[in-house]
Amino acid sequence: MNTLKSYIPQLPSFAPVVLRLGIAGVVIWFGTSQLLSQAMWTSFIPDWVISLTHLSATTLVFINGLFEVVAGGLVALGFCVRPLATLLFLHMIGIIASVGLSPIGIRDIGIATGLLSVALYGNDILSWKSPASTSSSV
Amino acid sequence: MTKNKKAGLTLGIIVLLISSSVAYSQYQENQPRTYPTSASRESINPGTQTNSSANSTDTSILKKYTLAHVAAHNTETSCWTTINGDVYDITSWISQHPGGKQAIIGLCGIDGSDAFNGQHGGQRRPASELAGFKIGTLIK
Repeated sequence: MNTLKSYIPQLPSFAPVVLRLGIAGVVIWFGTSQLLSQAMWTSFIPDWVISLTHLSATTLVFINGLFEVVAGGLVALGFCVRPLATLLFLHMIGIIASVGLSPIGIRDIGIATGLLSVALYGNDILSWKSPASTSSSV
Repeated sequence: MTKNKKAGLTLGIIVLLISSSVAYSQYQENQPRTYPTSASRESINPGTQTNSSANSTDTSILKKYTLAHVAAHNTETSCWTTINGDVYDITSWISQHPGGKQAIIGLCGIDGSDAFNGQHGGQRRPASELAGFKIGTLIK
């Protein structure tokens, strides 16, 4: 019991780690799903993006999926946490604007909030550049 | 490499592997199935009414449609799709879909099996909602 109590003061320092890994896992899942089955996601691509880029919806889904897997993977591994989390947050804002305030949009607001929290906190104790080992976390 | 960095990298790799594996396994489960065929199907004439009681106790009359028929209804005002061998008129569902209109509009006039199975495969509620929009079966 005493051993367990001795770990309690350390628990708060793991909170940002748990948040970073959980959010990164969700982003990686979505990215992988888009890479494996583009057809499932093409209906979510806004028409204005297709006309602006002159790329097919399938190509856009593939590119988006690749971005999410790479960015999510790097955040999970603890590299460039703040810049990538910020980028993913802005990316989610774009998705929310497109989807609107539907159940999916509300859920995405939760994910965006988590990403913002990770971006604001920056590197945690298990990141590659933990706050103790560097003076700059960006 | 410090102990914390090793732990961080290890956890990151585990999260990466788990997330990708879950997405891949769900993708595998939702691979499109072949449409059921039956030797007792009576007519292959498109759009004809035929009794579907050959293989079930349901005596309702179901129309048969080709993909061309479905493709002709590809707008927001008349939206048909085919999912897993059945044809559905989902026009009224466009404004009611919890995930937003775009997800349904994207299925108008096409085979929506991949999209539906990928998003709602194995879920009872979407399947029962969908059943209410059935207007016929697909013939090739």
